[in-house]
Amino acid sequence: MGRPVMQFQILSKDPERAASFYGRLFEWKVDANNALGYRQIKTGAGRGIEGGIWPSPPEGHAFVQLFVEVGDVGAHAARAAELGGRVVIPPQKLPDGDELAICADAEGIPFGLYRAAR
Amino acid sequence: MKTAARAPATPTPATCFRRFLQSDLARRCAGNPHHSLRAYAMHLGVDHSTLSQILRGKRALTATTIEKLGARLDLAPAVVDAYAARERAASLSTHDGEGERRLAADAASVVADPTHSAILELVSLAEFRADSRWIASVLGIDVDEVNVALHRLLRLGLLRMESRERWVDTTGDAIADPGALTAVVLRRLAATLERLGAGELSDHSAMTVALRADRVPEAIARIARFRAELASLFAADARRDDVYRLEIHLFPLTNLRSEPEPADGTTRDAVPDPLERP
Repeated sequence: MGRPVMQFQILSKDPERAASFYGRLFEWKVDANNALGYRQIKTGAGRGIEGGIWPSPPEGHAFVQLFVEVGDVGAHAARAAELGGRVVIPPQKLPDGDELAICADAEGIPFGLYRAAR
Repeated sequence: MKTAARAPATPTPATCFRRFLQSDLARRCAGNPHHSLRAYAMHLGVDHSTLSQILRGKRALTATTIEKLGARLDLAPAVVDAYAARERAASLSTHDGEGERRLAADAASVVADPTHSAILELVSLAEFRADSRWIASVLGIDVDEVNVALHRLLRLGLLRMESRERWVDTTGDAIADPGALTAVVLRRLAATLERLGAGELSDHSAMTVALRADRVPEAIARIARFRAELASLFAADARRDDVYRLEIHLFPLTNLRSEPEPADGTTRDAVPDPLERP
C-alpha cells in the first residue's frame, strides 16, 4: 500500500499570525472548526498535500513537520525506536477518530505517524 | 533518574572509532611512506572519499559500518561492539540534548502553570468533553494555550487520549496535591529520559526544592565553584579524546517574588519593548 506523506504541519509560536501570513500569501483557507481547534489548511490546489498549524510552546521552536500515513501507528512507532529514533508522543486517539504519534528520527528530526479514522 | 552507571559488559574504548581509524592510518603511513588514505580505503573496502568524510567527522559512523571496518581490521567482536556502543552513546548525548531540554522545560511548565492540573481535573469529570474549545471555554483561556498544555501533558505521559471521547489522567490522584504532582512529573521526566536512552556516558538529573530566596546567591557561588572544580579535574589530563557539555539550571518555578503592578493603573505590558517594531 505504501506509506504516503499526507500532511505538513507548521509548529508556530504565533499560530494566528502564521495562518494569516500563509492565507494571504497563497490564498490558503484555514479552518479551525474542529474539536482540537486545529487550524486545518486547505490549499485548494487539488493536488499536493494539505496541512495544518499547531501552537508551539514559548520554550519550543517554530518548524515544519511531515505526517506519514501508516496502517499501524503503534507498530511503526516501535519500529522507529528500534531504528535509532525515538517516540516523542506515543500513539493517541484524537477526538476526530484519527490515530497519531510523534516520533523523531536518529538525527532528532520530528515527524508524525498517522492513521485516518475508519 | 540516572545516578549511578552500571558496569559495562565490555570495557569502554578510550577513544571513539573515528579517532582509532585516524591513529591506525597515521601508524601505517609512518611505517610505510607509500601508504596513503586511498590505500587504507582499499584495505578497508570503502570508497576513499567516504573514508575521508568519516575521518574528518563529516559522516556519521553507524554500527554496521563499524562492524564492517572492524572486521577488515581484525578487531575482536567485543571491541567492535564496544566501539559501536560508544558511538551510539555519543550520538544520543548530542542529538537528544534538545529533546531532553524540551522535556525538562515541559516538566517545569507543568509544575508551575496550573492550567495543566486544571485540564487533568476536567478529564475526570462526567461532563468532560474531549474538545479543546470546550476546555478553553471552561478554563477561560485561549484554545492555543489549551493545546500547548495538552502537548506537554502528552509528551510527559501524564495524559493519554484513549478514544474519541475518553482521555485518561495517568497521574492518579496526584493532581489533588501540588507536591505530589511535582513528584509524579519528575518521576515521569526521569522515566522518559531513561526511555530515550541516556547512555552510560551521560548523566541527567534534576530536583525541585523549596528554599529561602536570600540563599540563592550562595547557591550560585557554589555552582560556580563546582564548575571550576570539574574544569580543573578534566584539565589535569594531558590527553583528552571527547567533548561533553554540562548544563546547570537554577531558576524559580513560582512568581511569588515578582514585582507588583505599578500603582498608577498601568501594567508592565504597557511599557514598550525597545526591540519590538511598531
